[in-house]
Amino acid sequence: MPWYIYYALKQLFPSKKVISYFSMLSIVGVALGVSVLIIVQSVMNGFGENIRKHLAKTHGDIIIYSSEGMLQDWGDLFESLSCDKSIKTVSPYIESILMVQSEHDTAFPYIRGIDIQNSRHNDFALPIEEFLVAGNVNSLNDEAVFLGVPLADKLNVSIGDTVALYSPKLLEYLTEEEWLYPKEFKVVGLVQSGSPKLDENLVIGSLAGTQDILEVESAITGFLINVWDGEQSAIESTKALLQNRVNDYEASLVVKNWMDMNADLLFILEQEKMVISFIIIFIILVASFSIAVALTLSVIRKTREIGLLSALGAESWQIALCFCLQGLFIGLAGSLSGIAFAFIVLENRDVLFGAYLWLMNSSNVQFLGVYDLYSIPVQYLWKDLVQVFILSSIISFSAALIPALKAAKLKPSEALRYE
Amino acid sequence: MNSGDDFLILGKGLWKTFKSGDDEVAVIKGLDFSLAQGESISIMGDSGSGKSTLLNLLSGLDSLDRGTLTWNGRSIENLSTSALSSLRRSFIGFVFQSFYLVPDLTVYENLYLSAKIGCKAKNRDEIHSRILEYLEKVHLKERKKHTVTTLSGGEKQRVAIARALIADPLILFADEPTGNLDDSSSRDIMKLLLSLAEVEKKSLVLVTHNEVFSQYTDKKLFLKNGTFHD
Repeated sequence: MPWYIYYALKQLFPSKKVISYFSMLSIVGVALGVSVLIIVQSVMNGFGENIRKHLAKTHGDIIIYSSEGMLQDWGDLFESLSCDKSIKTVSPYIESILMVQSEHDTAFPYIRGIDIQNSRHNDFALPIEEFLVAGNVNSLNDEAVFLGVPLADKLNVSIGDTVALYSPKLLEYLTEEEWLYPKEFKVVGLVQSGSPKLDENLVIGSLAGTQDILEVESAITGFLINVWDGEQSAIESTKALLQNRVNDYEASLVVKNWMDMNADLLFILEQEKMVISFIIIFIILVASFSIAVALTLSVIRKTREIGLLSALGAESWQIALCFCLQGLFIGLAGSLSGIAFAFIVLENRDVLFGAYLWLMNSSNVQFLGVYDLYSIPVQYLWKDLVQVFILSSIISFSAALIPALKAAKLKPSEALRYE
Repeated sequence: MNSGDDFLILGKGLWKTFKSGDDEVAVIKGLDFSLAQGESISIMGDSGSGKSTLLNLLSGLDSLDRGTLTWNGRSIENLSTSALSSLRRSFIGFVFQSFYLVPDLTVYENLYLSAKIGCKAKNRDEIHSRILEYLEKVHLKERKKHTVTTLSGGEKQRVAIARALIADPLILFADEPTGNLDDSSSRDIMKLLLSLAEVEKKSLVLVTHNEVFSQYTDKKLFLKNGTFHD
């Protein structure tokens, strides 16, 4: 082992000590910077991914609807779409706002009718079984509905209870002083899509039952489509092909993918990530500054030793390398510890966040509700971890450069005289 | 009379000034100096007479303002810092008044570091046996695992002497090596230094205030106001 590596290691781990105090402080500085970076990035990734996943799940990959209202004769188009090899599932659906009334409360959610009788469960563009937290998907019939969990809570109903549904037309009749009874539906399932806002306003019914209450005969709002290849590029190309095809059926048909439907939200997410990344650069700078300060102090403290090394015949580049190696080691150790610490925090985020909210006297649901989430989402991206690790190691090495060059430039006679 | 190539160190018209505010103060004023193989020279003088500055110039730790200086017949004035360091490694060993041991290291590790930097033997076993040999010579073998901060002043200086010799240099520069020691330790250290220099056939340049110690060197030089006096 060359002497400068030996000396660098001895500076970091002096004999009879586990680690030097200054090295430990620097490692903690880098570790904190790196852990903040990883935590922020992973949570941001989690937010983005969660929202994307939830959007894709609740809208399907592609949606087809008419710009002029309901689709009346959709049988041929449905057959045509069902035969398309790039399409995995196609589900006709109908959607409308309505009024729901229980014995306790009233709400104005959306109802989405899906073709439950004529489809196998995996034919739905919506993963109903995945959303269902109580009840059975087979129990959905023309006189039953699933409710979003927060909506059921608001109405104070549970499985087996009955709710009254008022369609917009029915409400119109009421204003004309005609008295019509609302239709009563049995609650047979509770769903949780991952989005509290959506679930607060979600009623799922059968296609026929919903068409009946909305009095639209066999009309539908459109089709929800899932493609075999869920990659963004595949969805885009299928969308383009479908746009050409559906225009042959009816010019008013619009084809959109889930990204088009939520373009504004996705744009905001991208912008947010960019801004956060920009802020994170300053966190790295603070961490690297702590290394530079620690190593500069070390150079000042060891000025005489540097003079001695020169007197013994050490060359300037070897002395510089010796301090740079210390910086690199601090960077590597700090980065690894920071990543480990970030994992510990992220894996225990719910407990820690709960404790934080308790201390701040705040409500978890209130806070996460703003972000349309039930809990803090996290997504680890290896690319991010590797990038942060390499970047912080390079910055730590570079931060050591200035004090290292300062050490190398010291005249031995002056260094030895240093008081 | 020796020719220039016969001297390990030959300096002519050595001149060194330092800036003090706007003024320039000449500390070494046109000195001539020579040191032959195996020769020992003591340099004496009052505080501030320029002894340490001369030592720094002769050892290449500081640069000349004027004059010529050769090591083993090779001029060193125009050498790069790197070349000078490389040359110094095998040419000069230092013993300082303040020891300058690395406090975080043990006795053994201080010698190991010096050996790694300057020793021609790079084999770990060779270095190890050489360190043990010199620890034996300075009577510190049993304290090899102790950190140097736990040693007495005399013991520290013995480590420093072993460190200076471990790389097998041709010349030993000792800058007031007993300056921080009591009388008894000073005598022991000086005895050890002179005997080792003699046994190992090293040239010695000794800066000292002690006239008694200077009696044991081949030549005595008195430095006053930057020049030698009889």
